[in-house]
Amino acid sequence: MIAQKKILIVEDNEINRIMLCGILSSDYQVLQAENGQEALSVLNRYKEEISLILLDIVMPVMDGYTFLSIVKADPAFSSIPVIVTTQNDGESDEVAALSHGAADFVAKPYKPQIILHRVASIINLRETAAMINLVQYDRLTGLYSKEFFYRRAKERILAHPERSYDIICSDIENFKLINDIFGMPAGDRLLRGLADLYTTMVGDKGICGRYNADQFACLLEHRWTYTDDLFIKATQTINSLSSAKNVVMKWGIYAVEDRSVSVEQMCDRALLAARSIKGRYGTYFAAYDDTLRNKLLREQAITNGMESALAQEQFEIYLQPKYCIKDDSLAGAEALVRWNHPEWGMQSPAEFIPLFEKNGFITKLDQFVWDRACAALQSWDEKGYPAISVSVNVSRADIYNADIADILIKTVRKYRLPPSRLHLEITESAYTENPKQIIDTVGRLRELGFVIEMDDFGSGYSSLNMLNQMPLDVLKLDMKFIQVETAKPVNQGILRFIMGLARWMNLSVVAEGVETREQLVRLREIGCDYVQGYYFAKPMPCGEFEALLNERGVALKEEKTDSAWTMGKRVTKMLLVADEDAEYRAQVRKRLDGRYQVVEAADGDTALACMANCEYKLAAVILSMTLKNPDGFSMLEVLQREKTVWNIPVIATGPWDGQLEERALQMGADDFAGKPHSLQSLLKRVQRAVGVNSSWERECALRDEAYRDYLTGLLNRRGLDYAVEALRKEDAPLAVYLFDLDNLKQINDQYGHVEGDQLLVQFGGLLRSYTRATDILARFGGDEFVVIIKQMGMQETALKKGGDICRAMRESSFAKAIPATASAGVAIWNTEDCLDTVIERADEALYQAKTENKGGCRLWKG
Amino acid sequence: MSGLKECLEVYGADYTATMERFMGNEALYLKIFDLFFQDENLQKLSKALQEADFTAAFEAAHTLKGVVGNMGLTPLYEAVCALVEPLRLKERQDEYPVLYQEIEKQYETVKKLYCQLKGGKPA
Repeated sequence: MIAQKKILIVEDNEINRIMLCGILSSDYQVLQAENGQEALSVLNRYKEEISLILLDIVMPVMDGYTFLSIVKADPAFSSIPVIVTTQNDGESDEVAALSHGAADFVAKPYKPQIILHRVASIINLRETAAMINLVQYDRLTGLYSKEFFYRRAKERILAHPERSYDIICSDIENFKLINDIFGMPAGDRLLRGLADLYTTMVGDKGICGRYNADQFACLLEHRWTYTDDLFIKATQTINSLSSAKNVVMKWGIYAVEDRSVSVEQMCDRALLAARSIKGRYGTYFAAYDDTLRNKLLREQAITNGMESALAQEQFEIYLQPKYCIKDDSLAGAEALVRWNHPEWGMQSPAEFIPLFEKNGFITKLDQFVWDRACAALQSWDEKGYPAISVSVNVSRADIYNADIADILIKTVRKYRLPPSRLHLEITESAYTENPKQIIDTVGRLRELGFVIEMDDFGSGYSSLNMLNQMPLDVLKLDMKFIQVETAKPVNQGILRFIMGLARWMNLSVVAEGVETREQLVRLREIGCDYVQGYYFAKPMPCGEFEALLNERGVALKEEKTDSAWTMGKRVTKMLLVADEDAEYRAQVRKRLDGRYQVVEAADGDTALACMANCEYKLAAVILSMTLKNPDGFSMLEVLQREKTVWNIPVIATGPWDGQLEERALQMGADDFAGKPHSLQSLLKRVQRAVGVNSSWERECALRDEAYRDYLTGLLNRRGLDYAVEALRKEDAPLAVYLFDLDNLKQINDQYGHVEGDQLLVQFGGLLRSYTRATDILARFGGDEFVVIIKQMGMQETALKKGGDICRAMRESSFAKAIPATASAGVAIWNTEDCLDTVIERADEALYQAKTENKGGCRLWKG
Repeated sequence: MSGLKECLEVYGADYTATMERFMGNEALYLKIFDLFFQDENLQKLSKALQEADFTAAFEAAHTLKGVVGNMGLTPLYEAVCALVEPLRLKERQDEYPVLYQEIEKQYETVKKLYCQLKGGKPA
């Protein structure tokens, strides 16, 4: 129970006192005094604890008026309300009482209900007034509270139109840190110190208020030209008060010119000025000026224009291509929004997106982007381009929209697309606010078939918990993260860790903002799946992207027809200058860099190593015949020998010598450039050699012929060797299968080779459908097939997969007279042994399967 | 003892209005009644009038008026009121003895009422 409020009854007549007690004592704690003198001593004892005084006027010793005058003159008591009890016999007493400062009067004979009501309402009134009084001042610092500061400042500004005023606000940059490290009491001390500083600084020339937590404001007559010195001194004073010696303060000044601006706005502007220098070392104050004003005006203009911009189709989507890192094929695009304003021109999303996020318009804009992206996808489908996907942004605000799933589904349906064509990029930061809601919403979207990408991964507070809980398909690594990451030595990087994590969680990884070749190399090394960035292509209008799709799409389609084996298109062609003359190399690099990525080699060994490393990425080699270790001719010999693999155009160089030229051409050089020659002519020769020799598509076709089994379209033995050479560390562990069609010979004999061939084609198709495009499938011999499945370390899983394939084969020929079954052996390959050894092991297991478990799969156990 | 309501009404008091003032608490009313005869204002008034100290007389009469009014003793209240107003203005001084006698007379009636309430025993 709350302590009862105290009422003091001052009344000389005992009967009246008892009666008043009777009326009041059920609601209040009643104190009594027989006369004014006694009442004063009670007052001194209880002071402001007393909520109200009921006073009789006619009393001996000290009458009511005298008592009232004393009480009202003493600031300690003056706020205690006094109700005077009078006889109901004339207005004079009442008027006199009120003029002496009584709050109200009640007449005798007492009317209890009236007394109780008056007492309650007067106590209530006084408490409210006290509260207002309290709110006027900030309790901690004693400065005006924010609202009250506004009021006082406004009054002052209006009262003195002849004076010029400034509003100064300050913000402690690292106040939370100070509170955290030194504790709240230290923080409070600091704030009180700052309040004192303000009071001293302003003196009688203005007023001060505490604006917000660690923000203060003052209205000050304009006296000074503000200099760094002034604020440095102020900061020093503050630092001398605090145990924290590194309090960083920023001050903002607003010169009051237009007095019709509200004080709220003036303070906001001063604070905006202070905030504009946040984090800038050595800058102490800033004035709210035209730059800031323009920024605000511009934000306002953007806000005013956004709705009509959407209606007038000023927004447009741009697409940034996304490539598959393995073969550089076009894998999709991210849709980004651009604002083409009729007057302002192209607007930077970096400017308007944060604003739209703030004012909520982002939801509408996102929906627009979704719609446009789907429309583009549909139009490409109609033109017969490959069915790529497009990523679109889903903002934080969208997640909180209860209808988001409905809206997205309606959008894809409108354009007759499966949801999987639309990839939804969710930002990591969205997770931090309301994890449960975002997980639920995203989960529902994923169930509907949308592909979920975690955008900006690694840039914010990446939480492993979030990765664990969020239903995801793709991780998008933030470009900033990648830019920093690739600068570190390989081993220190956590990029590799993230890749491992992604692999483990079955997520694909897209690297965004790839800008340099080094980054690409790194990303390729660690096995990133997709890349996006200026190194490949900037975001482009839909039309341009369509052209790209048209060009690349053809390649994609061809790849599709021959499935598993795809070769990469060069990203930037490399040119190897193998020459003993450093100056010559430098000249070539200077002239041709940009068109080609020029790599240099000063001797034969370096050149060979480079060729082995770069293989088909090399556009051409400029080879000096006078090179050493080994010499140019030996180099040509090697190149010639490896022509089927490398097939790199060679431009031989050397002194003008007919014999030398002839010999070089004889040994396989594609051209000869006698020294000295102009670099322009060299460039022409390179271009010709590259052009004549091989376009990528032709290379591919040639390779295909040489490496493919004509019947099944799988790799032949040679192709298998080639593919195995291209295996990378992150592909391991591998499962190597050897399949054998059990009854092929019998079928061939009984039904003829056409039937047998069909069986082979059928099995080839079956293998394709049971493996990923990245796995290696080869027809090894007549009825033998080798399958290498990547990243398959679990023996049980490998065995099960083999069993699945065998069973599928069995079931497919169930109705035939001669069951066409396949048996298999599988061995896990950790890439330490050579392929032949592993195939032998698989063969052993196959033999076992054939004898014990025909039509099934066996695992080789060392 | 007769009922308080009956006795008061026979005496000429407004029982309902009076008991409202005492929050319907008859015991409190009777307690106050006990105190009433200890109150010295009647004696003070009498003395002041004899000494022609009209200021003191007014104060005493004024206080008495409040008490009697609160107790709802209407006939006595009216008698006191008749004296208080001339006293406040210090006029019609020749009438004071008559007015005072009327107060004393009514005071006696109240005493009888009190005895009645206390079961016939004198105060």
